Amino acid sequence: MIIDRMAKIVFGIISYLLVTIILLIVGFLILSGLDDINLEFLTSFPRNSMTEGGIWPSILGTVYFLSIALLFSVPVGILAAVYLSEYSKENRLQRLVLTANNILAGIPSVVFGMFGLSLFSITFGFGTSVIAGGLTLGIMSLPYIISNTHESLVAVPKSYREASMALGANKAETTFKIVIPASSSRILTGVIIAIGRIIGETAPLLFTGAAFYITRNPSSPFEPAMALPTHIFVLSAIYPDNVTPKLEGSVSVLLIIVVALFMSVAIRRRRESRKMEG
Amino acid sequence: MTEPIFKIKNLNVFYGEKHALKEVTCDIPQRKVTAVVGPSGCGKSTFLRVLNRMNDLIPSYRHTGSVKLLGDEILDMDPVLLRKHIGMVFQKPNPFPKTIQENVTYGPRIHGIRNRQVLREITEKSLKQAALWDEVKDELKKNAANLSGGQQQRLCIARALSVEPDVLLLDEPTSALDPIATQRIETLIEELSEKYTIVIVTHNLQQALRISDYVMFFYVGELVEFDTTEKITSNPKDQRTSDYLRGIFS
Repeated sequence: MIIDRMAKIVFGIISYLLVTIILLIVGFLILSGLDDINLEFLTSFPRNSMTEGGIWPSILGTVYFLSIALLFSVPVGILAAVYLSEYSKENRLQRLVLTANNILAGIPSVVFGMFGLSLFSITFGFGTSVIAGGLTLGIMSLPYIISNTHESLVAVPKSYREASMALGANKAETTFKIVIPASSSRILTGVIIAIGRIIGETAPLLFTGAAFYITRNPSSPFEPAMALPTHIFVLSAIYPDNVTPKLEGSVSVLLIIVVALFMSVAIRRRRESRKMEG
Repeated sequence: MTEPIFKIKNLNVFYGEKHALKEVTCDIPQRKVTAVVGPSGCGKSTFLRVLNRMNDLIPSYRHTGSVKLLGDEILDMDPVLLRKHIGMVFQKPNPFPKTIQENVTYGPRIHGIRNRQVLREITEKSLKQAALWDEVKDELKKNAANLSGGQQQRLCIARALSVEPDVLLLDEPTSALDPIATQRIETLIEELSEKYTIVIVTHNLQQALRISDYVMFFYVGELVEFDTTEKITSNPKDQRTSDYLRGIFS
Protein backbone atom coordinates (compact mmCIF):
# COMPACT_ATOMS: atom_id res chain seq x y z
CA MET A 1 0.00 0.00 0.00
CA ILE A 2 2.63 2.50 1.09
CA ILE A 3 5.00 1.30 -1.60
CA ASP A 4 2.30 1.77 -4.22
CA ARG A 5 1.56 5.25 -3.02
CA MET A 6 5.23 6.21 -2.96
CA ALA A 7 5.79 4.76 -6.41
CA LYS A 8 2.90 6.78 -7.70
CA ILE A 9 4.33 9.97 -6.22
CA VAL A 10 7.88 9.35 -7.47
CA PHE A 11 6.84 8.38 -10.98
CA GLY A 12 4.43 11.29 -11.04
CA ILE A 13 7.16 13.74 -10.12
CA ILE A 14 9.41 12.33 -12.83
CA SER A 15 6.81 12.63 -15.53
CA TYR A 16 5.80 16.14 -14.51
CA LEU A 17 9.50 17.00 -14.47
CA LEU A 18 9.50 16.21 -18.19
CA VAL A 19 6.71 18.67 -18.79
CA THR A 20 8.56 21.25 -16.72
CA ILE A 21 11.75 20.81 -18.72
CA ILE A 22 9.91 21.23 -22.00
CA LEU A 23 8.01 24.24 -20.71
CA LEU A 24 11.25 25.79 -19.47
CA ILE A 25 13.14 25.26 -22.71
CA VAL A 26 10.38 26.21 -25.04
CA GLY A 27 8.91 28.90 -22.84
CA PHE A 28 12.23 30.50 -22.00
CA LEU A 29 13.46 30.52 -25.57
CA ILE A 30 10.20 31.77 -27.03
CA LEU A 31 9.81 34.48 -24.39
CA SER A 32 13.39 35.70 -24.60
CA GLY A 33 12.99 36.33 -28.31
CA LEU A 34 9.44 37.59 -28.26
CA ASP A 35 10.31 41.26 -27.78
CA ASP A 36 12.67 41.09 -30.79
CA ILE A 37 9.86 40.05 -33.08
CA ASN A 38 7.97 42.72 -34.91
CA LEU A 39 6.61 43.20 -38.39
CA GLU A 40 9.84 44.71 -39.65
CA PHE A 41 11.83 41.76 -38.28
CA LEU A 42 9.55 39.29 -40.06
CA THR A 43 9.38 41.09 -43.39
CA SER A 44 12.78 42.64 -44.08
CA PHE A 45 16.13 41.40 -45.28
CA PRO A 46 19.08 41.23 -42.92
CA ARG A 47 21.31 44.29 -43.18
CA ASN A 48 24.71 45.50 -42.09
CA SER A 49 26.33 42.02 -41.87
CA MET A 50 23.10 40.65 -40.37
CA THR A 51 23.34 42.77 -37.27
CA GLU A 52 20.26 44.65 -38.36
CA GLY A 53 17.13 43.98 -40.37
CA GLY A 54 15.06 40.84 -40.29
CA ILE A 55 14.62 37.24 -41.32
CA TRP A 56 12.25 37.45 -44.28
CA PRO A 57 14.52 35.49 -46.68
CA SER A 58 14.95 32.75 -44.03
CA ILE A 59 11.21 32.40 -43.57
CA LEU A 60 10.59 32.34 -47.30
CA GLY A 61 13.53 29.97 -47.85
CA THR A 62 12.19 27.57 -45.23
CA VAL A 63 8.85 27.58 -47.05
CA TYR A 64 10.68 26.84 -50.33
CA PHE A 65 12.73 23.99 -48.89
CA LEU A 66 9.65 22.47 -47.25
CA SER A 67 7.60 22.80 -50.43
CA ILE A 68 10.13 20.90 -52.50
CA ALA A 69 10.53 18.34 -49.72
CA LEU A 70 6.78 17.67 -49.49
CA LEU A 71 6.29 17.72 -53.25
CA PHE A 72 8.65 14.78 -53.28
CA SER A 73 7.87 12.95 -50.05
CA VAL A 74 4.06 13.17 -49.87
CA PRO A 75 3.26 11.40 -53.16
CA VAL A 76 6.16 8.97 -52.90
CA GLY A 77 5.48 8.25 -49.23
CA ILE A 78 1.73 7.76 -49.70
CA LEU A 79 2.19 5.47 -52.69
CA ALA A 80 4.80 3.43 -50.84
CA ALA A 81 2.44 3.12 -47.87
CA VAL A 82 -0.42 2.14 -50.19
CA TYR A 83 1.75 -0.60 -51.61
CA LEU A 84 2.66 -1.86 -48.15
CA SER A 85 -0.87 -1.86 -46.77
CA GLU A 86 -2.99 -2.72 -49.82
CA TYR A 87 -0.86 -4.64 -52.30
CA SER A 88 2.12 -6.40 -50.76
CA LYS A 89 1.59 -9.67 -48.99
CA GLU A 90 2.58 -10.02 -45.36
CA ASN A 91 5.94 -11.55 -46.06
CA ARG A 92 9.62 -11.05 -45.47
CA LEU A 93 9.94 -8.37 -48.12
CA GLN A 94 7.23 -6.27 -46.49
CA ARG A 95 8.87 -6.61 -43.07
CA LEU A 96 12.20 -5.71 -44.64
CA VAL A 97 10.77 -2.53 -46.17
CA LEU A 98 9.13 -1.52 -42.89
CA THR A 99 12.34 -2.18 -40.95
CA ALA A 100 14.39 -0.25 -43.49
CA ASN A 101 11.91 2.58 -43.12
CA ASN A 102 12.38 2.65 -39.35
CA ILE A 103 16.15 2.63 -39.75
CA LEU A 104 15.88 5.50 -42.20
CA ALA A 105 14.05 7.49 -39.52
CA GLY A 106 16.96 6.89 -37.13
CA ILE A 107 19.82 7.94 -39.40
CA PRO A 108 21.54 11.11 -38.16
CA SER A 109 20.62 14.16 -40.16
CA VAL A 110 24.24 15.04 -40.88
CA VAL A 111 24.49 11.76 -42.79
CA PHE A 112 21.50 12.77 -44.88
CA GLY A 113 23.32 16.02 -45.53
CA MET A 114 26.38 14.19 -46.86
CA PHE A 115 24.14 11.93 -48.91
CA GLY A 116 22.26 14.87 -50.39
CA LEU A 117 25.50 16.65 -51.13
CA SER A 118 26.91 13.70 -52.97
CA LEU A 119 23.73 12.69 -54.82
CA PHE A 120 21.81 15.90 -55.54
CA SER A 121 24.49 18.61 -55.39
CA ILE A 122 27.31 16.77 -57.07
CA THR A 123 26.02 13.77 -59.04
CA PHE A 124 22.85 15.47 -60.28
CA GLY A 125 24.69 18.78 -60.54
CA PHE A 126 22.13 20.79 -58.55
CA GLY A 127 24.91 22.43 -56.56
CA THR A 128 23.91 24.31 -53.42
CA SER A 129 20.29 25.00 -54.19
CA VAL A 130 16.71 24.95 -52.98
CA ILE A 131 16.06 21.80 -54.97
CA ALA A 132 19.06 19.89 -53.58
CA GLY A 133 18.22 20.94 -50.02
CA GLY A 134 14.51 20.32 -50.51
CA LEU A 135 15.02 16.84 -51.89
CA THR A 136 17.39 16.00 -49.04
CA LEU A 137 14.77 17.09 -46.53
CA GLY A 138 12.20 15.19 -48.59
CA ILE A 139 14.12 11.95 -48.15
CA MET A 140 14.45 12.68 -44.45
CA SER A 141 10.70 13.13 -44.08
CA LEU A 142 9.86 10.03 -46.11
CA PRO A 143 10.00 7.52 -43.22
CA TYR A 144 7.63 9.60 -41.09
CA ILE A 145 5.15 9.92 -43.93
CA ILE A 146 5.40 6.24 -44.88
CA SER A 147 4.95 4.87 -41.39
CA ASN A 148 2.15 7.30 -40.50
CA THR A 149 0.28 6.72 -43.74
CA HIS A 150 0.75 2.98 -43.44
CA GLU A 151 -0.74 2.98 -39.95
CA SER A 152 -3.62 5.18 -41.11
CA LEU A 153 -4.44 2.89 -44.03
CA VAL A 154 -4.21 -0.28 -41.95
CA ALA A 155 -6.66 1.30 -39.47
CA VAL A 156 -9.35 1.60 -42.18
CA PRO A 157 -11.88 -1.19 -41.47
CA LYS A 158 -11.70 -4.16 -43.80
CA SER A 159 -15.47 -3.93 -44.18
CA TYR A 160 -15.13 -0.75 -46.27
CA ARG A 161 -12.84 -2.53 -48.69
CA GLU A 162 -15.19 -5.53 -48.88
CA ALA A 163 -18.22 -3.31 -49.53
CA SER A 164 -16.38 -1.55 -52.32
CA MET A 165 -15.09 -4.74 -53.93
CA ALA A 166 -18.56 -6.30 -53.69
CA LEU A 167 -19.91 -3.40 -55.76
CA GLY A 168 -17.54 -4.30 -58.57
CA ALA A 169 -14.78 -1.83 -57.79
CA ASN A 170 -11.24 -2.97 -58.46
CA LYS A 171 -8.42 -2.59 -56.00
CA ALA A 172 -7.18 0.75 -57.29
CA GLU A 173 -10.69 2.26 -57.19
CA THR A 174 -11.21 0.87 -53.71
CA THR A 175 -7.87 2.26 -52.54
CA PHE A 176 -8.17 5.74 -54.01
CA LYS A 177 -11.91 6.33 -53.64
CA ILE A 178 -12.61 4.63 -50.32
CA VAL A 179 -9.53 3.74 -48.30
CA ILE A 180 -7.44 6.89 -48.77
CA PRO A 181 -10.39 9.31 -48.33
CA ALA A 182 -11.41 7.41 -45.19
CA SER A 183 -7.94 7.96 -43.74
CA SER A 184 -7.12 11.34 -45.30
CA SER A 185 -7.39 13.21 -42.03
CA ARG A 186 -4.93 10.88 -40.32
CA ILE A 187 -2.60 10.98 -43.33
CA LEU A 188 -2.60 14.78 -43.18
CA THR A 189 -1.75 14.61 -39.47
CA GLY A 190 1.25 12.48 -40.43
CA VAL A 191 2.36 15.06 -42.96
CA ILE A 192 2.18 17.79 -40.32
CA ILE A 193 4.31 15.65 -37.99
CA ALA A 194 6.84 15.20 -40.80
CA ILE A 195 6.97 18.96 -41.33
CA GLY A 196 7.56 19.46 -37.62
CA ARG A 197 10.40 16.98 -37.74
CA ILE A 198 12.25 18.49 -40.69
CA ILE A 199 11.54 22.19 -40.32
CA GLY A 200 14.36 22.59 -37.81
CA GLU A 201 16.88 20.43 -39.63
CA THR A 202 20.13 22.32 -39.99
CA ALA A 203 22.89 19.96 -41.01
CA PRO A 204 21.33 18.68 -44.27
CA LEU A 205 20.73 22.22 -45.49
CA LEU A 206 24.23 23.37 -44.59
CA PHE A 207 25.56 20.75 -46.98
CA THR A 208 23.06 21.11 -49.78
CA GLY A 209 21.07 24.27 -49.96
CA ALA A 210 21.70 26.96 -47.40
CA ALA A 211 22.93 30.39 -48.33
CA PHE A 212 24.95 32.18 -45.71
CA TYR A 213 23.62 35.61 -46.48
CA ILE A 214 21.59 36.74 -49.45
CA THR A 215 20.33 40.14 -50.42
CA ARG A 216 17.61 38.99 -52.80
CA ASN A 217 15.36 35.98 -52.77
CA PRO A 218 16.19 33.04 -55.05
CA SER A 219 14.54 33.34 -58.44
CA SER A 220 14.65 29.62 -59.25
CA PRO A 221 14.90 26.34 -57.33
CA PHE A 222 18.44 25.99 -58.59
CA GLU A 223 19.67 28.85 -56.44
CA PRO A 224 20.50 28.60 -52.75
CA ALA A 225 18.24 30.10 -50.11
CA MET A 226 18.44 31.01 -46.47
CA ALA A 227 16.47 28.98 -43.95
CA LEU A 228 15.50 29.58 -40.33
CA PRO A 229 17.59 26.81 -38.70
CA THR A 230 20.70 27.49 -40.75
CA HIS A 231 20.29 31.21 -40.12
CA ILE A 232 20.23 30.47 -36.39
CA PHE A 233 23.34 28.34 -36.77
CA VAL A 234 25.15 31.03 -38.72
CA LEU A 235 24.24 33.76 -36.25
CA SER A 236 25.30 31.74 -33.25
CA ALA A 237 28.47 30.27 -34.74
CA ILE A 238 29.83 33.21 -36.66
CA TYR A 239 28.68 36.21 -34.60
CA PRO A 240 29.26 35.36 -30.99
CA ASP A 241 28.06 38.63 -29.48
CA ASN A 242 26.55 41.45 -31.37
CA VAL A 243 23.59 39.71 -33.04
CA THR A 244 21.98 38.30 -29.90
CA PRO A 245 18.62 40.02 -30.41
CA LYS A 246 18.40 38.74 -34.00
CA LEU A 247 19.39 35.26 -32.86
CA GLU A 248 16.84 35.18 -30.07
CA GLY A 249 14.15 36.46 -32.37
CA SER A 250 14.92 33.81 -34.99
CA VAL A 251 14.90 30.99 -32.42
CA SER A 252 11.63 32.27 -31.10
CA VAL A 253 9.99 32.34 -34.53
CA LEU A 254 11.14 28.80 -35.36
CA LEU A 255 9.96 27.45 -32.01
CA ILE A 256 6.58 29.13 -32.29
CA ILE A 257 6.08 27.45 -35.66
CA VAL A 258 7.14 24.03 -34.34
CA VAL A 259 4.96 24.30 -31.22
CA ALA A 260 2.01 25.40 -33.36
CA LEU A 261 2.50 22.43 -35.67
CA PHE A 262 2.55 19.89 -32.85
CA MET A 263 -0.35 21.55 -31.04
CA SER A 264 -2.39 21.26 -34.22
CA VAL A 265 -1.43 17.57 -34.37
CA ALA A 266 -2.62 17.09 -30.79
CA ILE A 267 -5.90 18.84 -31.53
CA ARG A 268 -6.44 16.81 -34.72
CA ARG A 269 -5.66 13.56 -32.89
CA ARG A 270 -8.17 14.34 -30.16
CA ARG A 271 -10.80 15.16 -32.75
CA GLU A 272 -10.06 11.96 -34.65
CA SER A 273 -10.34 9.76 -31.60
CA ARG A 274 -13.61 11.45 -30.67
CA LYS A 275 -14.87 10.75 -34.19
CA MET A 276 -13.85 7.11 -33.86
CA GLU A 277 -15.92 6.77 -30.70
CA GLY A 278 -18.86 8.01 -32.72
CA MET B 1 -39.18 -24.69 -59.91
CA THR B 2 -38.38 -21.82 -62.27
CA GLU B 3 -35.24 -21.75 -64.40
CA PRO B 4 -32.35 -21.70 -61.89
CA ILE B 5 -30.11 -18.64 -61.76
CA PHE B 6 -27.11 -20.53 -60.37
CA LYS B 7 -26.21 -24.05 -61.46
CA ILE B 8 -23.55 -25.41 -59.17
CA LYS B 9 -21.73 -28.66 -59.86
CA ASN B 10 -19.13 -30.44 -57.74
CA LEU B 11 -17.97 -27.27 -56.06
CA ASN B 12 -15.00 -27.80 -53.77
CA VAL B 13 -13.41 -25.04 -51.74
CA PHE B 14 -10.10 -25.12 -49.89
CA TYR B 15 -8.38 -22.74 -47.49
CA GLY B 16 -4.84 -24.04 -47.62
CA GLU B 17 -5.21 -27.64 -46.47
CA LYS B 18 -8.69 -27.17 -45.08
CA HIS B 19 -11.46 -28.62 -47.27
CA ALA B 20 -14.18 -26.07 -46.54
CA LEU B 21 -16.87 -27.10 -49.06
CA LYS B 22 -17.20 -30.64 -50.36
CA GLU B 23 -18.73 -31.55 -53.71
CA VAL B 24 -21.59 -29.10 -53.50
CA THR B 25 -24.09 -29.59 -56.31
CA CYS B 26 -27.36 -27.67 -56.51
CA ASP B 27 -29.49 -25.24 -58.49
CA ILE B 28 -30.54 -21.94 -56.94
CA PRO B 29 -33.93 -20.76 -58.22
CA GLN B 30 -34.51 -17.35 -59.68
CA ARG B 31 -36.47 -14.61 -57.85
CA LYS B 32 -36.86 -16.69 -54.73
CA VAL B 33 -35.40 -16.37 -51.28
CA THR B 34 -32.96 -19.15 -50.57
CA ALA B 35 -31.79 -19.36 -46.97
CA VAL B 36 -28.43 -20.95 -46.21
CA VAL B 37 -28.39 -22.43 -42.72
CA GLY B 38 -26.21 -24.68 -40.61
CA PRO B 39 -24.09 -24.66 -37.48
CA SER B 40 -21.10 -22.31 -37.11
CA GLY B 41 -18.17 -23.23 -39.31
CA CYS B 42 -20.27 -25.37 -41.65
CA GLY B 43 -19.21 -23.32 -44.68
CA LYS B 44 -22.39 -21.34 -45.27
CA SER B 45 -20.62 -17.98 -45.43
CA THR B 46 -17.92 -19.50 -47.60
CA PHE B 47 -20.60 -20.79 -49.95
CA LEU B 48 -22.21 -17.35 -50.19
CA ARG B 49 -18.85 -15.75 -50.95
CA VAL B 50 -18.21 -18.20 -53.76
CA LEU B 51 -21.19 -16.72 -55.57
CA ASN B 52 -19.53 -13.30 -55.92
CA ARG B 53 -15.95 -14.55 -55.64
CA MET B 54 -15.29 -12.55 -52.47
CA ASN B 55 -13.23 -15.47 -51.17
CA ASP B 56 -10.67 -14.68 -53.85
CA LEU B 57 -9.41 -11.90 -51.58
CA ILE B 58 -8.13 -14.55 -49.15
CA PRO B 59 -4.61 -15.62 -50.20
CA SER B 60 -4.83 -19.35 -49.35
CA TYR B 61 -8.23 -19.79 -51.02
CA ARG B 62 -8.81 -22.07 -53.99
CA HIS B 63 -11.79 -23.74 -55.63
CA THR B 64 -12.66 -26.47 -58.14
CA GLY B 65 -15.87 -27.43 -59.90
CA SER B 66 -18.38 -25.32 -61.74
CA VAL B 67 -20.72 -22.46 -60.82
CA LYS B 68 -22.82 -21.06 -63.66
CA LEU B 69 -24.70 -17.76 -63.42
CA LEU B 70 -27.38 -17.79 -66.14
CA GLY B 71 -25.15 -20.05 -68.20
CA ASP B 72 -21.83 -18.21 -67.66
CA GLU B 73 -19.09 -19.97 -65.74
CA ILE B 74 -18.26 -17.57 -62.91
CA LEU B 75 -15.27 -19.45 -61.55
CA ASP B 76 -13.32 -18.43 -64.68
CA MET B 77 -14.73 -14.93 -64.86
CA ASP B 78 -12.96 -11.73 -63.87
CA PRO B 79 -14.32 -11.32 -60.32
CA VAL B 80 -14.55 -7.54 -60.73
CA LEU B 81 -16.94 -8.00 -63.69
CA LEU B 82 -18.90 -10.69 -61.88
CA ARG B 83 -19.45 -8.50 -58.82
CA LYS B 84 -21.17 -5.88 -60.94
CA HIS B 85 -24.03 -8.35 -61.33
CA ILE B 86 -24.22 -9.47 -57.74
CA GLY B 87 -24.99 -7.28 -54.77
CA MET B 88 -23.87 -8.14 -51.28
CA VAL B 89 -24.89 -7.00 -47.83
CA PHE B 90 -22.71 -7.84 -44.86
CA GLN B 91 -23.22 -8.89 -41.29
CA LYS B 92 -22.34 -5.55 -39.75
CA PRO B 93 -23.72 -2.46 -41.47
CA ASN B 94 -20.73 -0.97 -43.28
CA PRO B 95 -21.70 2.27 -44.99
CA PHE B 96 -18.75 4.24 -46.33
CA PRO B 97 -17.79 7.29 -44.26
CA LYS B 98 -19.42 9.49 -46.88
CA THR B 99 -22.82 11.07 -47.37
CA ILE B 100 -25.95 8.98 -47.83
CA GLN B 101 -26.11 9.95 -51.49
CA GLU B 102 -22.44 9.18 -52.11
CA ASN B 103 -22.95 5.76 -50.58
CA VAL B 104 -25.71 4.95 -53.04
CA THR B 105 -24.01 6.44 -56.08
CA TYR B 106 -20.58 4.91 -55.46
CA GLY B 107 -21.37 1.73 -57.42
CA PRO B 108 -22.96 3.47 -60.42
CA ARG B 109 -20.06 5.94 -60.55
CA ILE B 110 -17.56 3.11 -60.54
CA HIS B 111 -19.46 1.67 -63.48
CA GLY B 112 -19.07 4.92 -65.37
CA ILE B 113 -22.33 6.79 -64.77
CA ARG B 114 -21.52 10.50 -64.41
CA ASN B 115 -24.78 12.25 -65.29
CA ARG B 116 -26.04 13.97 -62.13
CA GLN B 117 -29.69 13.64 -63.04
CA VAL B 118 -29.30 9.90 -63.63
CA LEU B 119 -27.39 9.50 -60.37
CA ARG B 120 -30.14 11.35 -58.50
CA GLU B 121 -32.78 9.08 -60.00
CA ILE B 122 -30.75 6.00 -59.04
CA THR B 123 -30.41 7.33 -55.50
CA GLU B 124 -34.13 7.85 -55.13
CA LYS B 125 -35.07 4.52 -56.72
CA SER B 126 -32.56 2.51 -54.68
CA LEU B 127 -33.48 4.18 -51.40
CA LYS B 128 -37.18 3.62 -52.12
CA GLN B 129 -36.54 -0.04 -52.86
CA ALA B 130 -34.70 -0.31 -49.57
CA ALA B 131 -37.61 1.38 -47.74
CA LEU B 132 -35.34 4.18 -46.54
CA TRP B 133 -36.28 7.05 -48.84
CA ASP B 134 -38.97 8.62 -46.65
CA GLU B 135 -36.64 8.73 -43.66
CA VAL B 136 -33.64 10.28 -45.40
CA LYS B 137 -34.90 12.18 -48.45
CA ASP B 138 -34.19 15.53 -46.79
CA GLU B 139 -30.75 14.61 -45.52
CA LEU B 140 -29.07 12.93 -48.47
CA LYS B 141 -26.00 15.11 -47.94
CA LYS B 142 -25.54 14.01 -44.35
CA ASN B 143 -22.91 11.53 -43.32
CA ALA B 144 -24.22 7.98 -43.30
CA ALA B 145 -22.58 7.36 -39.93
CA ASN B 146 -25.34 9.44 -38.31
CA LEU B 147 -28.01 6.89 -39.24
CA SER B 148 -29.19 4.23 -36.81
CA GLY B 149 -27.94 0.66 -37.22
CA GLY B 150 -31.10 -0.50 -38.95
CA GLN B 151 -31.10 2.50 -41.27
CA GLN B 152 -27.43 1.91 -42.05
CA GLN B 153 -28.18 -1.67 -43.02
CA ARG B 154 -31.04 -0.56 -45.28
CA LEU B 155 -28.65 1.98 -46.79
CA CYS B 156 -26.25 -0.90 -47.49
CA ILE B 157 -29.11 -2.73 -49.20
CA ALA B 158 -29.85 0.40 -51.26
CA ARG B 159 -26.17 0.62 -52.14
CA ALA B 160 -26.19 -2.99 -53.29
CA LEU B 161 -29.34 -2.40 -55.37
CA SER B 162 -27.94 0.75 -56.99
CA VAL B 163 -26.09 -1.27 -59.63
CA GLU B 164 -29.22 -3.28 -60.49
CA PRO B 165 -27.75 -6.67 -59.68
CA ASP B 166 -29.26 -9.99 -60.74
CA VAL B 167 -28.72 -11.47 -57.32
CA LEU B 168 -28.62 -10.11 -53.79
CA LEU B 169 -26.40 -11.94 -51.32
CA LEU B 170 -27.11 -11.28 -47.66
CA ASP B 171 -24.60 -12.47 -45.09
CA GLU B 172 -26.42 -12.56 -41.74
CA PRO B 173 -27.80 -9.08 -42.42
CA THR B 174 -29.75 -8.73 -39.19
CA SER B 175 -27.41 -10.30 -36.65
CA ALA B 176 -26.20 -6.88 -35.48
CA LEU B 177 -29.68 -5.32 -35.34
CA ASP B 178 -32.41 -5.01 -32.72
CA PRO B 179 -35.71 -6.93 -33.18
CA ILE B 180 -37.63 -4.02 -34.71
CA ALA B 181 -34.93 -3.21 -37.23
CA THR B 182 -34.66 -6.93 -37.96
CA GLN B 183 -38.36 -7.14 -38.71
CA ARG B 184 -38.16 -4.21 -41.11
CA ILE B 185 -35.33 -5.91 -42.99
CA GLU B 186 -37.27 -9.17 -43.14
CA THR B 187 -40.30 -7.42 -44.62
CA LEU B 188 -38.00 -5.71 -47.07
CA ILE B 189 -36.47 -9.03 -48.13
CA GLU B 190 -39.91 -10.38 -48.93
CA GLU B 191 -40.70 -7.34 -51.06
CA LEU B 192 -37.38 -7.52 -52.87
CA SER B 193 -37.79 -11.18 -53.69
CA GLU B 194 -40.41 -10.26 -56.28
CA LYS B 195 -37.67 -8.65 -58.38
CA TYR B 196 -34.43 -10.18 -57.18
CA THR B 197 -32.96 -13.54 -56.44
CA ILE B 198 -31.95 -13.48 -52.80
CA VAL B 199 -29.54 -15.81 -51.09
CA ILE B 200 -29.36 -15.20 -47.37
CA VAL B 201 -27.05 -16.76 -44.82
CA THR B 202 -28.61 -16.70 -41.41
CA HIS B 203 -27.80 -18.00 -37.98
CA ASN B 204 -31.37 -17.52 -36.99
CA LEU B 205 -33.34 -20.61 -37.99
CA GLN B 206 -36.69 -19.00 -37.21
CA GLN B 207 -35.79 -16.19 -39.54
CA ALA B 208 -34.85 -18.60 -42.30
CA LEU B 209 -38.18 -20.39 -41.97
CA ARG B 210 -40.10 -17.11 -41.88
CA ILE B 211 -38.71 -15.51 -44.99
CA SER B 212 -37.33 -18.18 -47.28
CA ASP B 213 -38.81 -20.18 -50.14
CA TYR B 214 -35.94 -22.66 -50.14
CA VAL B 215 -33.52 -23.83 -47.48
CA MET B 216 -29.98 -25.15 -47.93
CA PHE B 217 -28.65 -26.99 -44.91
CA PHE B 218 -24.86 -27.25 -44.65
CA TYR B 219 -23.03 -29.45 -42.20
CA VAL B 220 -19.21 -29.53 -41.97
CA GLY B 221 -18.71 -28.38 -45.53
CA GLU B 222 -21.34 -30.67 -46.98
CA LEU B 223 -24.65 -29.65 -48.51
CA VAL B 224 -26.84 -32.06 -46.58
CA GLU B 225 -30.23 -31.02 -47.81
CA PHE B 226 -31.74 -28.51 -50.18
CA ASP B 227 -35.47 -28.24 -50.65
CA THR B 228 -38.44 -25.94 -50.33
CA THR B 229 -38.78 -24.50 -46.87
CA GLU B 230 -42.08 -26.27 -46.48
CA LYS B 231 -40.67 -29.71 -47.24
CA ILE B 232 -37.57 -29.19 -45.12
CA THR B 233 -39.64 -28.25 -42.09
CA SER B 234 -42.39 -30.81 -42.50
CA ASN B 235 -40.35 -33.73 -43.69
CA PRO B 236 -36.56 -33.50 -43.53
CA LYS B 237 -34.91 -36.43 -45.31
CA ASP B 238 -31.65 -36.42 -43.40
CA GLN B 239 -31.32 -37.14 -39.70
CA ARG B 240 -28.82 -34.26 -39.31
CA THR B 241 -31.32 -31.80 -40.79
CA SER B 242 -34.06 -32.84 -38.43
CA ASP B 243 -31.63 -32.72 -35.48
CA TYR B 244 -30.65 -29.19 -36.46
CA LEU B 245 -34.26 -28.14 -36.89
CA ARG B 246 -35.13 -29.50 -33.48
CA GLY B 247 -32.24 -27.56 -32.03
CA ILE B 248 -30.10 -30.50 -30.98
CA PHE B 249 -27.07 -28.62 -32.24
CA SER B 250 -26.75 -25.10 -33.52
